[in-house]
Amino acid sequence: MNKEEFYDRNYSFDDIEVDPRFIRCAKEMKITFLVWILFAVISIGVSYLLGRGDVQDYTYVAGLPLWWFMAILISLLFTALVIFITKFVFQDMDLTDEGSLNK
Amino acid sequence: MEFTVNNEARFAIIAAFVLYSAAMLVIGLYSKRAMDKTSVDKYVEEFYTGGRGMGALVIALMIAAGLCSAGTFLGGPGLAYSAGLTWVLAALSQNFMNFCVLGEIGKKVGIVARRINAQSYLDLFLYRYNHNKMVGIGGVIAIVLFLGSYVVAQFVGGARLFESMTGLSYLLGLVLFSVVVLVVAAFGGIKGVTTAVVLQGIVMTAAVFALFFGALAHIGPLEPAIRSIGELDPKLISPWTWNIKFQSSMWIIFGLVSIGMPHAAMNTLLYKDTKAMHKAIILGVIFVVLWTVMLIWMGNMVRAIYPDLKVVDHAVPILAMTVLPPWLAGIALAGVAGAIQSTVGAMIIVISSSIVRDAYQAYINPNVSHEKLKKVTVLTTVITCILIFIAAIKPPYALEWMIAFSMGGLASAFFWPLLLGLYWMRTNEYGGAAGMLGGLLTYILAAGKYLPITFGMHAIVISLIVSLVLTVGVSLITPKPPKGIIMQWFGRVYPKEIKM
Repeated sequence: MNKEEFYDRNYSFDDIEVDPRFIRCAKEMKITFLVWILFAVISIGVSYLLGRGDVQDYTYVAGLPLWWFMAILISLLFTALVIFITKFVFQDMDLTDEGSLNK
Repeated sequence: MEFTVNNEARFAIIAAFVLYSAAMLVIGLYSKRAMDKTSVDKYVEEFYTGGRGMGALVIALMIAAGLCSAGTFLGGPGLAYSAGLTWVLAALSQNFMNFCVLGEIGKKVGIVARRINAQSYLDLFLYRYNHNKMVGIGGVIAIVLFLGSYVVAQFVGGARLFESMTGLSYLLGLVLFSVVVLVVAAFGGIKGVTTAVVLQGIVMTAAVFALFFGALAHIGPLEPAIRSIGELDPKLISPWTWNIKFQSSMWIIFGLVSIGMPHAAMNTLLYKDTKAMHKAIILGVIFVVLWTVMLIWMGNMVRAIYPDLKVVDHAVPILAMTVLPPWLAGIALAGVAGAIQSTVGAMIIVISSSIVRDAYQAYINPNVSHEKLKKVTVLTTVITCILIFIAAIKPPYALEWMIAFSMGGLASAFFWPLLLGLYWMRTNEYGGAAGMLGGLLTYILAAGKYLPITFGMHAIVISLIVSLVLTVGVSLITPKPPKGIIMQWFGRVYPKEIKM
């Protein structure tokens, strides 16, 4: 490729054949954001819901205020989910220059 | 109250700390020998990215221990002591940092970095954004200033802790901390830092376990202890102490934007293959969940033992003194040192690589010889360490807030330009530059309270919004990015070289 072609700015994105690995990367990126946002929303939502009211009236579970017990539990459940996703949803791929998606 | 240490305990603590530091120095010198054998034309690659051959445990700990600094080991428990459980809830947001960093950008950067031979975090911006001067110079300045001040804060925290636990002088603590980092990072490069991080991670984990179970055994049944904290001040055990808006913004800064942290994201340049990357997610998540839940939470529980600490950042050290035998308290101190040094080591690599690769080699002297580049690399790293040491002699105040300030500045600058650059073809250098500088500037204005634009949230939220709008908006009203670059970053085939 010569310099002029490299720095060309009048072209169509459709002319570029996208590497299937990058399509896969984009998908995994979206999964990651989705899982993290779910984790955040559920953690904050449950904690603030269960942590309402006077602290003297808190229910205790396993020695912890219920909201805090649930917050830890949610973190542990999401730990399991993250491990599951990493093991079974994320795909191995070749990282070399023009490598293939399926290793 | 302040804590007092008897002489016998002091001796055990000093012994454990000296032993730990000696082990670090051995690792540093060993890595230096390996670096000395590296041929000069490969030196920079080996120094900054270690030939992209890092395995799962190293990557897992580089992200986990790199992001978990004095913030997790001193400032975090301190804030749990003063602000209460609502902060511990916010701290849970960092649990999945390995998953976030590697899942969001790991593979894409892994492939692209091999195509463009990226050696630093900023290289990614420079190549994607057509070596735009605003991106390059703005990026280097942001990294040097923000990571620099972060590193200084880390050293200050470590040396203060050393002073209070050993009774020796602050300056001596600072010298010990700095010499270890200097030898490991400046002479061993990324090899030194990554070898050290494994030992540091193990010591940190040992410290966390000792503190957690020591504390639980000391406190006894949890419910009465937590109730007593609630009687002290109900705010300490309610999530509502912070409103939901503020809580959410803490989650954004400590969780969502971790790819904006150069010292975390740079690890995507280092890993060997996707198998190692996947394992690094799993291992890293386990480490961070354990550290966060067990240690930061215990900062809050210290209230049940000592209701009126003068220096809240002493919550963990005082806990160590109270619940652990002296030699284990010494390991706790070494654990804190490990947390600090692992972060600082990674950051110094980032700072040095930004200066050498993205200021010196990119703009000042593009045709530099291999010999000269090697000299510049080592010299830059040594000078960085020395400047940081000098700045830390007269320390700034308030550790945790300074950390939050630098993280926010970097995340505001880098998050969107990196993410959009990787996944949206239309992003061009004008958008990237506008997003970086606009995000950074907004953050400084909002966090410094020069403009009342935070709307009750952390300054990070408005800065990220501004950065997103600018990156997308400016890209759309300016021409497309060069075709060759888009082929490199998205295409199945791409131009290997440009014919002149």
